[in-house]
Amino acid sequence: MAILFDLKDISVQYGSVSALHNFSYQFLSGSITTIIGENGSGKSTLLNCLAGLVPTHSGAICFEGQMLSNFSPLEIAQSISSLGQSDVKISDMPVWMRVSQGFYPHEGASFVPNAEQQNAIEAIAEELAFHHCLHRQLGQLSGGERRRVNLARALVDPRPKAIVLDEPFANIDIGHQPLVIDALHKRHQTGQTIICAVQQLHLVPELNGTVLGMRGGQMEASGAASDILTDAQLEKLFNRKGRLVQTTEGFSGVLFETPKQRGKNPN
Amino acid sequence: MKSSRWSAHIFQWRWSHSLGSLVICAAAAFICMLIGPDGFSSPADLLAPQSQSILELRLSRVLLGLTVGAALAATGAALQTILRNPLADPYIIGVSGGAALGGAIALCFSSLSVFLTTGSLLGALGSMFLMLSLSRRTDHPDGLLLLGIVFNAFAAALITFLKVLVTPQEVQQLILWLVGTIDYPEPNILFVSCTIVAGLIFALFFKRGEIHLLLMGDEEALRLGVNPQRLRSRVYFICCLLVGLLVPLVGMIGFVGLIIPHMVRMVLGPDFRNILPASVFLGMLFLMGCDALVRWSFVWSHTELPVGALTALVGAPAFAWILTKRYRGNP
Repeated sequence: MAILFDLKDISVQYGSVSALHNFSYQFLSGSITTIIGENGSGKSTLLNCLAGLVPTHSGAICFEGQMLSNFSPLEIAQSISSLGQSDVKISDMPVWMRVSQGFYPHEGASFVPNAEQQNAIEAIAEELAFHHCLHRQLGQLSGGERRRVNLARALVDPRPKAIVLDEPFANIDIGHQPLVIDALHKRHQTGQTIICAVQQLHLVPELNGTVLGMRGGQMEASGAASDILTDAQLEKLFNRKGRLVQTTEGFSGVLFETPKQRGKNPN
Repeated sequence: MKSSRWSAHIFQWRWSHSLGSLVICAAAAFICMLIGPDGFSSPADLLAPQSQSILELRLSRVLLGLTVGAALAATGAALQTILRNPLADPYIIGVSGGAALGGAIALCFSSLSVFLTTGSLLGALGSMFLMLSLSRRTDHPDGLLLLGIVFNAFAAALITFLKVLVTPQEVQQLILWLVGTIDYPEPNILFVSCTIVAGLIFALFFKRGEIHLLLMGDEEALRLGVNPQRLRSRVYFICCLLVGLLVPLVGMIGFVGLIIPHMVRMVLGPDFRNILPASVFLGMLFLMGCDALVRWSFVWSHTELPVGALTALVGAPAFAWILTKRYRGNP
């Protein structure tokens, strides 16, 4: 597989705080990569670098062999569809208009969705189960519904080569999480490269891609989900003793012991 | 079939809307031209050969009202969007304070209105350079807003000092000018301002889609391919030019730039691509109408009220009404 993103020794600092430190990694074209790690481990900074939002202090990011820093914001948006962690600050906008903004990088900003794009918006709304809200205002939606609407903005246009999502499952209930997983798989099957940061570790095996474990602005581990989601690796990544739980109903998840438990039962 | 279901939900401003609005404006302009200090005159009287000079005067004044109304509403709509602040209006960006200060200084030397206009134009230019160079040092949208407010307060303090120095008649002249009056302009001044305002509004119109995306927040705009800082400073520059032209021309006519975009937003929603053209036409109608009322007020008051007082008189309650209606139950 060809290399889509080639990161060489990148470092990012916010003032005196180092967020990424000599980070090197290659994201392959057509792959799914899930990034896990504790809060402040540099996941979002890494994703923002890939989306061209954060300038690197040192090192280089190449996208398809070309320096990402030479791209204009519009060129980046045309090739890389990205979604941030935070919600947009506007409430009096119809849902369909928010989703249609995903077409902006390729269509220009003075467009209104034509019949074909309306169909695409309706299709993704059905995929992510907010079809009934399409003509409501953003402010009338719950946090999880808004998250799915924002996700739809990032997924609606099939033209970007890469999809970079910062915590796509945030606020989304477990009933709707599989819809997002299916939507991501569908884009993966049509050749788009998917990179996302995930906190819901039980979803990581479902995404069925490479897992990248980060800690302290550096890569701690990478490999298949079965190699990373082990008690030993998770303890290293999250600095807590943890164990994978599998109930008889097939529900899998990760539990970390609380500091209280740790005090009672020092291992 | 699906698209027809959608068409009820999508409103897009089209050229046909502009054309229709232009026709309405032209019809309203004709009615406004019939209104003068002596009350209503019939169309036949106005079009008679002996009243040609009156016709020309009225036409130039109506055209100035249209130009200023369009400029104020467009500037207000653009500033409210790029500063992401519903309180933004054309006089919040500091250039107005500079223009007023320039006019006040000029008034200390001579009470000729040419001096006043030139002085305020110089003041507008000076404060524009100051605001633009200061605005480069801040990337925060509220930074531009605060800079403007601080500079306006500073200019207002200096104007208060100057008011003590000049004669009461000149103070009166200054106050009237600051409240904002539309006068009978020189044809060439009218032509130049009309052209500049039209050009700048078209420049805003050309960028309407990108400006619309700024509404989503800087980070989201950048993710969608718009450089928010660059776009904001460009739109800010255009707004500075518009205000720098308006204040020397007509003083500070308040509330038009504030309420017109709000009224449009209430009906058409937050899409700047619709708000800009609709505000321009509504601003034209509103200011031209207010100016006609002010001219008519001569019939009973025997003096002409400043149009800025009327727009504030109408605008303040209208804004309060919008605030209570629009933002109720919709955080």
